[in-house]
Amino acid sequence: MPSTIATDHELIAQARQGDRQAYGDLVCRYRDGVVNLVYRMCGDPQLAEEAAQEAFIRVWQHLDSYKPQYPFRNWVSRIAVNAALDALRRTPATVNVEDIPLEAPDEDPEAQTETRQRAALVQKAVLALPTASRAVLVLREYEGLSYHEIAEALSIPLGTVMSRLNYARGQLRQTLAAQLEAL
Amino acid sequence: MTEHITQWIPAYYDGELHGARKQQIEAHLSQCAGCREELEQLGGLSALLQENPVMPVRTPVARFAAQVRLRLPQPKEPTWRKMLKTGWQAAPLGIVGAWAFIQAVLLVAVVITIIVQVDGASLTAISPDLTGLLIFRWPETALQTQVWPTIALDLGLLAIINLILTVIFAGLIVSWLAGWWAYRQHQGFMSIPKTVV
Ligand SMILES: [Zn+2]
Repeated sequence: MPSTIATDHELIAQARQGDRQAYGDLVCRYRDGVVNLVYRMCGDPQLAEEAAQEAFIRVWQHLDSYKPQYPFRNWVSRIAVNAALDALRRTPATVNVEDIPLEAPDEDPEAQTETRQRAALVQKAVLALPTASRAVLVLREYEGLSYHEIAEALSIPLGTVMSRLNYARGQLRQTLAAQLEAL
Repeated sequence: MTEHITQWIPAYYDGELHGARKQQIEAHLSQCAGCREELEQLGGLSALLQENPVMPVRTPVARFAAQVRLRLPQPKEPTWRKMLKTGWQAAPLGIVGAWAFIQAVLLVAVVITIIVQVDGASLTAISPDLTGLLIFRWPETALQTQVWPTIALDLGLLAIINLILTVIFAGLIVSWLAGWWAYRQHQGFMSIPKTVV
């Protein structure tokens, strides 16, 4: 085993040769990013875990079509958002936005409650968006993808990316008006 | 004051504008408090959105990766590679087959040579086409007087051709074996640490 840490591109090249060990290392590096993206899309930890695994299986299957000049993270996000959309399509009613607890049960009430509560409100507002606009918003605000990359990821025209993003932001500004005011 | 640029603000905020358009927006923003406010609102929303919680409970990352690896299907081999592999595996069979075929042709050639040299006329009578198979033909005059030396020369010639071809085929087989060995060494090197997590 070499003592130096392999770069992403080295791991990708090895995984392309069928090296599952190398791919496992790659999965470890991108797990958190993918899980958070998917969780923001569906709001259910169980579903997110499952969709994240599905995303990594798809990444493995399509490694040959990955172009190294493109950021790997963006390419993975693109696959992950589609895995999340598919998971939501399969089980549309798993997440009831109203069920999301506004407070974590075992937390120090004084210090944590306000931030926790705000975080839960943000999550609730994002999950209340229509899935199509939510996907665009998540890719833009959390993954930092360009409009063009979002259009490619979701197979929609550039104009649709912009209109969905504007719609999502408009909705959020309404639902989170009080929180935005307090900032 | 120029017209408000409200519809361009999100694209400007997201870094999607370039060149003249970007300059135009920046010029307007420097003069218009209303549009600046709109831009700040977008920044505020982004900041608030960052408070969206990350995944709360999660499997340890090593276990997650192991679970993914267990579910991975075999990678699909590209068609050209599959064809190349099949061709490579079939190569020794092709080489041996070609060698056997040439041996058969040479054997027939030997038989025909003997028949023709001993009794050329009768063969021509049976089938004129077959004489075309002859590797080497002596002039008619020589045929009558020097039949056996001629046959010996013809057979010698055939033996030399056979030897050369056999050496070439043996060389092909040896290089195939060498290639196979090198490939196995490479494979072994590529797949040493296959431990299960
Ligand atoms: Zn203005």
